[in-house]
Amino acid sequence: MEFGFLTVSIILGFCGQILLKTGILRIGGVNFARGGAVRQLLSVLTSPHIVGGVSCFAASMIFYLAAISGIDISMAYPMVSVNFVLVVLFSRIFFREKVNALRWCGVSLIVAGVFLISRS
Amino acid sequence: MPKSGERSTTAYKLLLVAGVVINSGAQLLMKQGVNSMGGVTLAGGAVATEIAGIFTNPYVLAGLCAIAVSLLIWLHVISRLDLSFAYPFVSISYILILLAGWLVFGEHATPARAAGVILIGAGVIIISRTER
Repeated sequence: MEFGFLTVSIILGFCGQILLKTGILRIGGVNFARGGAVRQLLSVLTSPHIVGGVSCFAASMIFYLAAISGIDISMAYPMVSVNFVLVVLFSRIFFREKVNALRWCGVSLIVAGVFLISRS
Repeated sequence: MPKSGERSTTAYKLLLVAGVVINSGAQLLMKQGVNSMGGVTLAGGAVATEIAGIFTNPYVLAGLCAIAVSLLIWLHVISRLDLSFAYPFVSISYILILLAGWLVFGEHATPARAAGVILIGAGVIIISRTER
């Protein structure tokens, strides 16, 4: 059951990131340094993708808390790092970002680092 | 990398790191908040009192404000940068929270954890070199 919660939490966290980026692309991006902060904030708050993404994060957090109440956090923590691979992979697929070998190399080091931290 | 965009891209990278630092600070504030309440169980008949307690706790409220700020920074940053470039920077929070454990809460730094911090740091530095 708890692993189910953890899986749902990871998927929601990943979906949240993809939704935020989709929303940002649809509203043409924000630049709060350029002024017009209120208007930009409104376009953010009325974007269904961005509101959906933030809701995914909130739901992901609740499922994560439910998961770690049942399984060891040293088990849950490294599994969450799967997100680094998923987000990079789907950024490539959905947004056609160019991910070169060096970027994958960096992602691998990060995943290895998170595993080391949570295993000790 | 185009010469004209070089300076502003650096600014976006710094902002990206600042956003992750603020988000990590928010997590620590909220942890401090639930600790100061003596833990939250969300069980039994006291759920309403607990939820009211959470949302009136100054640490939790400060943490929520910090999360809102970090979210706006994140939206600003991914307006310009690739998600596959920006997202790995989130792993800096693992380093910061471990450092906070060592420096603020007096936890022990094991060699394996130190090695993990070095690997994550190296990964982020490598990725920071991959934007075009």
